[in-house]
Amino acid sequence: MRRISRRAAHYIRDELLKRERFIVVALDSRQKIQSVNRSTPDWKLPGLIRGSILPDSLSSLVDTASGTAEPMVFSYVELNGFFVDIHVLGDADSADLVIHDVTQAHEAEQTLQQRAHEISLLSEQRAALNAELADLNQELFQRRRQAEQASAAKSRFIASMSHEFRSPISSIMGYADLLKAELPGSENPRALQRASWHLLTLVENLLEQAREGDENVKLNPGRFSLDRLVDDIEVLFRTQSEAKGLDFEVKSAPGGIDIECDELRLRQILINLVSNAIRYTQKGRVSVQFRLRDNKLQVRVRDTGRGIAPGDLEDIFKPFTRVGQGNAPGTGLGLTITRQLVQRMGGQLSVQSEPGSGSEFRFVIPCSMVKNDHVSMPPLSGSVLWVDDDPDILALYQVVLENWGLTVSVANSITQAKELIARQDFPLIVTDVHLTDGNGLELFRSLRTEKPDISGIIISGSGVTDMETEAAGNGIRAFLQKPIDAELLYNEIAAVFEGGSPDHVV
Amino acid sequence: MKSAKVCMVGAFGVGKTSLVRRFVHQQFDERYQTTLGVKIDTRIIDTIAEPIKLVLWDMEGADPFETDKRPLARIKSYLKGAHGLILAVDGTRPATVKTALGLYHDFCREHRHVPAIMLANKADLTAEWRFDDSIIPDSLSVYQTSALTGQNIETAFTALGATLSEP
Repeated sequence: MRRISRRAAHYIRDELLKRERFIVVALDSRQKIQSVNRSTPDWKLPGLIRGSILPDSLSSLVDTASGTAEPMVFSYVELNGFFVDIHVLGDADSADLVIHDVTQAHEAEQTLQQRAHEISLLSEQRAALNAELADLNQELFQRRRQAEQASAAKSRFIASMSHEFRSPISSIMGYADLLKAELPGSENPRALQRASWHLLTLVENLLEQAREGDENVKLNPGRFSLDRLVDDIEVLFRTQSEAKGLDFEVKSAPGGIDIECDELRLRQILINLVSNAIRYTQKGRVSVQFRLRDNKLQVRVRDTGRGIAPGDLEDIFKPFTRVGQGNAPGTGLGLTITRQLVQRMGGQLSVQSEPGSGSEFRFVIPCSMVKNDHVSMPPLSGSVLWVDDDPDILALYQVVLENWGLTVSVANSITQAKELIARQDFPLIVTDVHLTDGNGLELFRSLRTEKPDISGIIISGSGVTDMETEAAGNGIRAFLQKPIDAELLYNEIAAVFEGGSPDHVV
Repeated sequence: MKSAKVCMVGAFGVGKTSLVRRFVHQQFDERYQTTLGVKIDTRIIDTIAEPIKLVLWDMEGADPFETDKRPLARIKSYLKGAHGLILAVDGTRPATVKTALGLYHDFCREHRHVPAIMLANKADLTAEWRFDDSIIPDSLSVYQTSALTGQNIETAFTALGATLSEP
């Protein structure tokens, strides 16, 4: 403001004094109060008494301002419940304190500041929570990755165990087949087969339990004769049930039909249910009835055993639970796995039971049905290379294939197989998927350019794998699972040497 | 009696007012009330050398992201003539350590060196505690305090008072 008249200056001062409250304190060099002047007589602050020493708080302000040529203003100083601006005007000899009541302005600004700070604190909390959430997400991600790695390791372990178990069992079953041909009428090879199927089912039960929750487990559907399956079930269990003095009956209708589903798992289900029925029936009969209708296989397994109490009907499907069965042998996994398998195959398993009268387990699974046209196995001719690191399997299938009229070469590794292939042409190579020096599929991949006409069959002991898609482009016509179904194997080989594909290959 | 101006500085919401109130009046109020300006309190403490009157300037909190620079300017002007500094930080808010250290370094640049301590407050909030002392200079003594429980407050203020009372 430029120079104004004394009259105007007085007017402004008077107006200011009407609106605002001031206290002016005059101090000497020792901060002793020389005078106290109030713009409003009723506004008093304690400690401001003429002749006394300035209170500590105000004294500290004066000290802070000392040495400054210009007046120093301390804004929003809290003083006895008031908020004041304190202007310190002074020199070495004296000082004036102009105390201005700004309580109302402080309140307004403080409210705004308070809100701003609260918002800022909330924002910080949100940021901290977000950071925590991000950490948790990261941790979850890590744990999920670890879980996936563990799951993958578990899957690899199961696949490996499955292969390890199935290979020798497959070998036993194959040799039992050979013995059956060599010793017609003997029960011994059948006993071998029976024990092998039981062993395989027990192993598969355990592996199935380990696979629980693994959504990547695939079914391995294939076409097979229901009559043969029914016959096998009868042969497998007749001796066992007769040994206990039980009547054992297996019925099937209609006959002469091929069905398509996962044969190994269907056998597993049947063996679990029938062996349970025989195990828990002390007298009377066990019957198994197969019915095919509308592309569905319905099986009933009835027994006249002790039955199951109504309250226990659901518990029997819990793993490692064996309701009221005393010391009866078994792992306690059979029914759990059976229901799991039926559900995995798209079917349903139910049970009806009456204590003292027996039980009936019934399951229905979808399967396509085709009238079978099985032919005899006429002799074949041609050269086949069989690759497997299990010498028993090599020896077995060398005999089996030679019995079919084929010329068989064997190799126990990919390296050895390549050496043989370099010297001789093989229209067909049958190889195990897991070999000591690599993967069976790799062998076909490496031959793809030089020998594009070679057909391949891969034998897997660990179920169908993700290789299936890639296999199609490498000349591989089939994946067969251990234990190898001789008829399926014959059909696949026959298709190669007859230059076509049989109408009932897998 | 010797008297020392001790300024309590730090980010807003770290508990400066509560720390002073606990030390001077042995009181604690859970309500958060933003300080705007300054409140001056005094307390005399006994030290080995001699009793000393601590004139405690409880200053408004600094907000490094505040666009209005007047509060920061006020804080800096009030620091003039301080004999000691108390840097208050919130142990659950790591950013408050940087704010306090920023004020401290600014002070050291503009004024003579004075004794200073750091109070890492809210030590009672153990579940949320995220205090990281890796960026704190070794020369700065750090006390984990709680205005709520009174933890370490007497110890910290007395330690600073003892340093200030030394001839």
